[in-house]
Amino acid sequence: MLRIIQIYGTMMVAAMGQTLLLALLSLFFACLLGLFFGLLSTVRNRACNIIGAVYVDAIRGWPLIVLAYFVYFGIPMLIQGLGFKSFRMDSLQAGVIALSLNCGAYMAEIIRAGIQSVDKGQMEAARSLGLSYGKSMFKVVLPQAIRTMIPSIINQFIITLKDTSILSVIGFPELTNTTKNVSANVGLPMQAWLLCGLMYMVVIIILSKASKNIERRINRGR
Amino acid sequence: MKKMLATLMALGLALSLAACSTSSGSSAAANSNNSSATSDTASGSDKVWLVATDTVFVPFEYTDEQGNFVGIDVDILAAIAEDQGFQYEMNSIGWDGAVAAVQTGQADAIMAGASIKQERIESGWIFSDGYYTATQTIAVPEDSDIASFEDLRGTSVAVKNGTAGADYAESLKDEYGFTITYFDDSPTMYQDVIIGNSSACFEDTPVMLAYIKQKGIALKVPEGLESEGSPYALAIMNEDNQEFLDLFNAGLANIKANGTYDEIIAKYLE
Amino acid sequence: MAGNVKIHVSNLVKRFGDLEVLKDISMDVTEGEVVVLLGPSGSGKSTFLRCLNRLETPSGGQILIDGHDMTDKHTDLNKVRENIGMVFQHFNLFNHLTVMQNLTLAPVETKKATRAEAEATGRKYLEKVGLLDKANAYPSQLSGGQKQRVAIARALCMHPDIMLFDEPTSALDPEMVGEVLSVMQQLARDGMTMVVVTHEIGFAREVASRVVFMDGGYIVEQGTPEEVILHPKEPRTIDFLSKVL
Repeated sequence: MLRIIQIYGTMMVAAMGQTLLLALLSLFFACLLGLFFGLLSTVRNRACNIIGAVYVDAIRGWPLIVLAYFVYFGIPMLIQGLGFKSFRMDSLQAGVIALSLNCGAYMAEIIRAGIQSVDKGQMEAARSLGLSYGKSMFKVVLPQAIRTMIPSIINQFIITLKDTSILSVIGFPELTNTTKNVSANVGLPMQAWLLCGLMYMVVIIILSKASKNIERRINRGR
Repeated sequence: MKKMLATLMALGLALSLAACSTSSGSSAAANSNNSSATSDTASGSDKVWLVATDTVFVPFEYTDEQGNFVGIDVDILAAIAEDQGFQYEMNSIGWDGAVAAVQTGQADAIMAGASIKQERIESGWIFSDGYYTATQTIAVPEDSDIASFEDLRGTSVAVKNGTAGADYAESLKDEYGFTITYFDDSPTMYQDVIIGNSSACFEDTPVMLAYIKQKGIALKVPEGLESEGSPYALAIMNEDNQEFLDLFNAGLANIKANGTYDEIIAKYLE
Repeated sequence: MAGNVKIHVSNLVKRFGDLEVLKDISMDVTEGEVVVLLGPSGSGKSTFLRCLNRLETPSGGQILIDGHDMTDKHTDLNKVRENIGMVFQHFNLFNHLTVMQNLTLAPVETKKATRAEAEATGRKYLEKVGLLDKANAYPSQLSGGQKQRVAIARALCMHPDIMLFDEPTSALDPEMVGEVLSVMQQLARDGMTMVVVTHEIGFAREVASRVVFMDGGYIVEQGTPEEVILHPKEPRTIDFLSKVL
């Protein structure tokens, strides 16, 4: 294992950087998607609820690896077929799209459940004071929903960070893909994968400790 | 420490091996104690050598239309075993699985179009004599005007993890200024070129030609870009299995001399 | 009592699925009136109240608040609601905000006041309900009676012309009912137009200018407290009062 670290250490750390880049970009967009579709599922409008439910069901029904292949190969093919022959999508773009869509569906469910866990009276009180639906949601309901959502969100973040490994199949140079390469080159799969696993674990432990701190700070403010 | 780790992981691996091994001939009982066998207890006649290989690496190993597991590796090993009179069992468990199996002693040797690499030798791999020298080259879309490595500048090329093609691409990328995307399997690699995300892919010449012909995919191989080639060999990790390497080398020399080798190559690459 | 009509309700119907909760209710409330709605639970009082500021959407009929048609799509409900304060049975204070933040949120967000103005108003009303010292407390640190007084102050901070009370004392321990009722009484004395759903017959007798008895989705009987509470004519009113008093 020392030999791997010697030869490929910097390469694997750089790959971890790519993993984090992919994860953080995806989490950012997943939060936006989750908020949007989570809100769609909670408003009092049948059509919006259906759109929200369809998104969640459609994405949850697709294994991430299938979604990744579809976005990376299917979407460029479709767009090229529409006449935009020079359209290209690199593996980072495809990876972020696939992972955001995937994580966004789970975030939507977390946010929907969080909003529904807040007593209806909070929204009614805010509306009765003349606040718009949006203001009531963002100033009154969501700040309270966030508290119940945080543990689930942290959990989802960790899952998404690990799910980046699936994007190795579309050639994105993240940690898992790089480890496959390293393992094949040196012919020491056991050591290479152990190192890879440890790297994921360390990063995830650091991130979850950090999130626990944030959680504690938010809860203290009540 | 290193040994303990390997043993631990071998336990887990043994399960997965049992699940996907395609048994050919001998009983599974031979599987359980072979790793502890030493050269003096195992005489050439009753020892069953366990050889792990890849699942699909056309034309070296693959399943044909009739469902038979065939290929250059498969036929050469059979011919050598017949010539030397040893028993063996070939398990098709995929490249990564095969490498891991040998590393943990679940298999005695790997024969899967593995090229002799300095890095692998330094990691403790012991290679037989080369049984085939494959050149590597590129494939590009049929309508592409890429005709030299210079044309790859500023583009991205696709390779398969851990292949000689990947090594070839890595040796050229700085000089010609292109980047490399690594894929797990050949179909995805080819697909990436067809869709236009990668400008070309690097792979063994015979493998690529066979694949393009067999599947009728819209790729072509520009002329004159082949590498010098790297020899494929059977490899072991446990020095106690040197006996098997000797048997293999002796048999290989014999089948090359008596024409069997040429017949096998011709059968797959005509 | 011939002041402006603040609330005009005609032929109001409200259905929840197949269940018809309000069946043809008509009523006017004039400026400064204190109308107390009495009736057994399930009689539709709360639903009626919640229709007035459109927390419930009426199934039929018309509601005019200060001339604004609450059933018209083009009415800016938020704007009208700024003038209708509402106090809930379960207080519904914003739990993540301090008392002062509860009071200033709506005035600042609706651009009715700057933060400084809103805080000045907030202090004024906190003082009025006797809770100035709790300005920086969180709702979880208050008793039920204190919470409801803060909720009343919160509604008053928007300077409403009309106040709706939905069983404001039903969730309170008996010893805290008085402090809330006295704040409401003070409001009535100041001339606020109020519609109150309550089971506090004593409050109705003392404070109401009109008592409305509802049952089964209809207005059964209405009049002065004297008429309805002391000399009810309808058998259902008599029956109800005999159980409550």
